[in-house]
Amino acid sequence: MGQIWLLGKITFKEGIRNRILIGILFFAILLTVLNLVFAKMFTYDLSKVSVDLGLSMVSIAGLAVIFFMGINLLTRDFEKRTIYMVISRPIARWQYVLGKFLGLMLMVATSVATISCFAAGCVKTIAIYAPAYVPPNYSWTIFWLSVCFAFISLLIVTALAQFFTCVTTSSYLALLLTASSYFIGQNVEMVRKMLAGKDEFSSLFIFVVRIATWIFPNLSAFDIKTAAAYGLPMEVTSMGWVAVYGISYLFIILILTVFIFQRRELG
Amino acid sequence: MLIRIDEISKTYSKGIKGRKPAVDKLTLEIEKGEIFGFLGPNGAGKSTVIKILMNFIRPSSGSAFIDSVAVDDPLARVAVGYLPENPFFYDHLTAEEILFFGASASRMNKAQIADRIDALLEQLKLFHVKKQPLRTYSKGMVQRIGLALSVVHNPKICILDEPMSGLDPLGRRLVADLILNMKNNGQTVFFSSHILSDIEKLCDRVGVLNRGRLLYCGSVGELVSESDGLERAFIQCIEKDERDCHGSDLAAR
Repeated sequence: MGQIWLLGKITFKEGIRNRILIGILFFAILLTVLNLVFAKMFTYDLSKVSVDLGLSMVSIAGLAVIFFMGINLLTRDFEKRTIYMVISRPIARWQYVLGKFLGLMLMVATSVATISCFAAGCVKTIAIYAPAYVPPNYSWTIFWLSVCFAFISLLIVTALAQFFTCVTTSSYLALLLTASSYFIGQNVEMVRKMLAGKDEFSSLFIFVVRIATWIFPNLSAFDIKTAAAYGLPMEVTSMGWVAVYGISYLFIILILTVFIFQRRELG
Repeated sequence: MLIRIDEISKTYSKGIKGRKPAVDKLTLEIEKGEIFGFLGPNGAGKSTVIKILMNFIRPSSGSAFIDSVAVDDPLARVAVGYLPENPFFYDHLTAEEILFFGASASRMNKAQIADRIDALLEQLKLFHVKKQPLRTYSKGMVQRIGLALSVVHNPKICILDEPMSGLDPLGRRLVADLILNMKNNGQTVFFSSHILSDIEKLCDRVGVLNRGRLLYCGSVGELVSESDGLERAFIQCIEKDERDCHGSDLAAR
């Protein structure tokens, strides 16, 4: 665990000093301004505007950290050979994969924590300023649960980015494959539901979609913004299963990454 | 025996069916306290051997051991310090942070790390920039940080790939002094270099590699005894091998 923590720490430091912290803070301030302006434009509709916008920004900022910083940090290790500095130590390859993931996880967590605190601040301000527009069942628990689910979803994307970086070593390809997986993951469940019970589509097409639902993560399952915005009741068991699904998928991707990286030559 | 290489071969694919040997049945042993120089023209396979020792790449056949531990075991690298040919580091970390990482990851006693880092940076004339991010360093300074990282944990064996590359004469002198210090401390140094004067000055034994095959392994004195200096001996050794073993290749050129 010591080696993983050491590597996670330097990955986090390298990422966070790379102007990313300034970017996150700038984004958070922009979010606050936009949130307050849009809330006023939509007559302080807390549910539709403030909560939805705030939680969306949490995901967008996290994705920006992964796509523009995380993938760059990972591929740089192979392109510039900074990996030699790490692998020449008594650090096993599985420890390298987990250490890098830990560093990226800390970066994403910093982004999620910062943006969600600003988003919560906006919601609270509007709730105080215009209490009449707060839905009767509005729940802060579901708001923070939604943040946690967004974080799990971002961790899955991070693990996929690391997996594709290990497979391809090209930052462009890794970015393309991760972004594609993210968009498929966001929409695959919707497509599956659209196709369910309809005969007009070819069986091959339905088969391909079914395979995609098995391969790609169902990221839409982690999107509970609507429930958070309107304070809709949440079923604890189904939420628990979604969390178990997300964490299991994450572990499977990390295991696959370790498996590939163990066999990889770093010449 | 601190480093043992047994009949190591490494081949790379060339085209659809072709295989190109980078290292061909290399056997080598390096004793404790030795400074061993690895010589060879570009593409001879020196870096490939070093990468196999560091487990960056795997041999197609054969085996290698460091301090009696197989190189594919991460524990083999507890005893090793390594400097790559063109070291690159995380740009936004400071020298102090990168050396702390290196020492801690190599399981050095935490209480000794800070003093060791300061002493090393002082010796390599980098103490005044220890809190600056590495992206502000010149090429020579980065090379010296690479060297510091390879020796920070007082390893039994130091494997250096072109340690003098990119250094000015002053930097080369610092590196040479560091290597000699290591020898005086009973540490073993295995390094590759194109700068033959450094090899001649520092090494107890040398190995000459051409096209992945070890042509000579022995003392520097023995190699130069029949020629006028190491450079001449080295060129003669390579030319003889090219004539004797690769004559058809030369004719085809």
